[in-house]
Amino acid sequence: MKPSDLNGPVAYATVPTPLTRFWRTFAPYQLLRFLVINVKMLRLIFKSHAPPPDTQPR
Amino acid sequence: MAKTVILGAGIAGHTAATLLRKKLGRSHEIVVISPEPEWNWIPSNIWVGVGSMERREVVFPLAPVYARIGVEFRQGRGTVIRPEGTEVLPSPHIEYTASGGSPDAPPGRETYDYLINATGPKLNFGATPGLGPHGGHSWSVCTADHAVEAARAFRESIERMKRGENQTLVIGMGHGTCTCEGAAFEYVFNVEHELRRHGVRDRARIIFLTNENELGDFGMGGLHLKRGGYVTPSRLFAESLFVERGVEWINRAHVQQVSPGKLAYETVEGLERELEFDFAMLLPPFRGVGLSAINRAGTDIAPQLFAPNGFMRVDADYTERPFEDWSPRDWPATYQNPTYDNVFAAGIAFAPPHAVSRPLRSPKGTLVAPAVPRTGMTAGIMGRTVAFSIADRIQHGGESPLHRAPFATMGAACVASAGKGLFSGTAATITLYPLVPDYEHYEFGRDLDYTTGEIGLAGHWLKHLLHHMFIYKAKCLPGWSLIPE
Repeated sequence: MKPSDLNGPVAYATVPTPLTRFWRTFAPYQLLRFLVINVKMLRLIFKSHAPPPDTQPR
Repeated sequence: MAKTVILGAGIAGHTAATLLRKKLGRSHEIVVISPEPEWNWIPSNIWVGVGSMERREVVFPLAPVYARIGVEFRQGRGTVIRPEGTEVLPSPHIEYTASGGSPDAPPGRETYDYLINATGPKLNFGATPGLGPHGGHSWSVCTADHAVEAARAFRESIERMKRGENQTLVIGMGHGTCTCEGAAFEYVFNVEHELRRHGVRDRARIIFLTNENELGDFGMGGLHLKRGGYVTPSRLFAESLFVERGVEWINRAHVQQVSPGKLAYETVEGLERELEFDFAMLLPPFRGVGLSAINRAGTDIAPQLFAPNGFMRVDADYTERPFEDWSPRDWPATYQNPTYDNVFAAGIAFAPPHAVSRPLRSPKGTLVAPAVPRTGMTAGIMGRTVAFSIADRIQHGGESPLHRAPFATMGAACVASAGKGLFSGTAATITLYPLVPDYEHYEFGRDLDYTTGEIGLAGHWLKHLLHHMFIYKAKCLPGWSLIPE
């Protein structure tokens, strides 16, 4: 961060640590995340296709 | 034999056509009328728009697919719905002008027993003077052709940077009531990635100009995520990306005018500023495509069928209420028009009862209100629901109960890539449920077990997977119906 950033929105933003950035592109770990994200997506799809019956119009 | 006419061959219309054909067999007629001869996987237009994917990879011709599965295809643009027919032609019918052929071709008519309006939106570049690639001064990635033009201009900008010039690139929303902020979000990070790849990032100032209340709003009022033992707003997630990539942002903004190399905008706070640019990709607001509707007596009944924004009224509650009284129960479930029970609207063509994100006004009274995004997943589910309802009514009688897929209880998934390589770049993957916040059932408006976000290479792989999977499905190749919407 530069001193000029201290009064701007940049000063209030979260930024990833070097380790976090490493994990984002570390292929073996990302392969695991790929599987996890696919499971999340499938859960979301099944939930969206089977809406709860209690959502009635006003 | 019953006949169903579908206006539009985007995700909702094409899903409805293919599922209707599958449910009904070949004993009933299905006609698709679309102005475009090709199907377009719109999410990948982002990659076309930075030149990392070819146009031919995101489109395919519809006619051969429809010929193979037994759907009639008319290339044309719907103009008038006559739901009660006319004295001369008493059956309900749609009038359309042929496109893609001779400009002198006579207008066409198709009678119908059921009509699905899945036209998608009109890209309303005219809402902002100077906006858009045709007669305006900014680029777009809304269509594959727009994306090709944007990529060409972006490439010229890169070449200038390679020659030592500095460039300002403005990316975002071209009006205060735009939707699909996620698309602009994805485009800006693909642009940033490409500039790094070409070794000219230090020559570029990139500014994200958006109508969102905060970064990470996405027209959905933002979302909350469980991270590190806290429940954090998506604003932190989004701002982190912008800061990490050195992209500046201006939010709560309405673009007033785009001139060559310069745009004027105002913010909710009342600031009125000008911004000079060398390259600008600004998405337009959407409105209905401008269909008219006339009854048997010749009276204009468009106000009964369409909301003032031109989108079709369905089984939503359109009563005007203050933001605090908005409810998930306002949103539709069957997508049936309340006046004509054989008319449905799916995808972007249905009129939302209100926004999801809180609307704001500038001191001058300018509305800055991101419209709710209707993503591919929701469009596909709507197309499927409407197709199943119509198939049931054709096969089991006109009083068969309609299928329901409440818009408010659908989820949404967004994969926003930054780059396209299998081992370079990263993507932000966001899932959320439900799309419309429900504070009666969930403390933060959404189910935190289904609302997640993460950044990484895995998102890239998923985006590639979705690209190939949904184009395969849309081509109706073997096993296509096993792939969910």
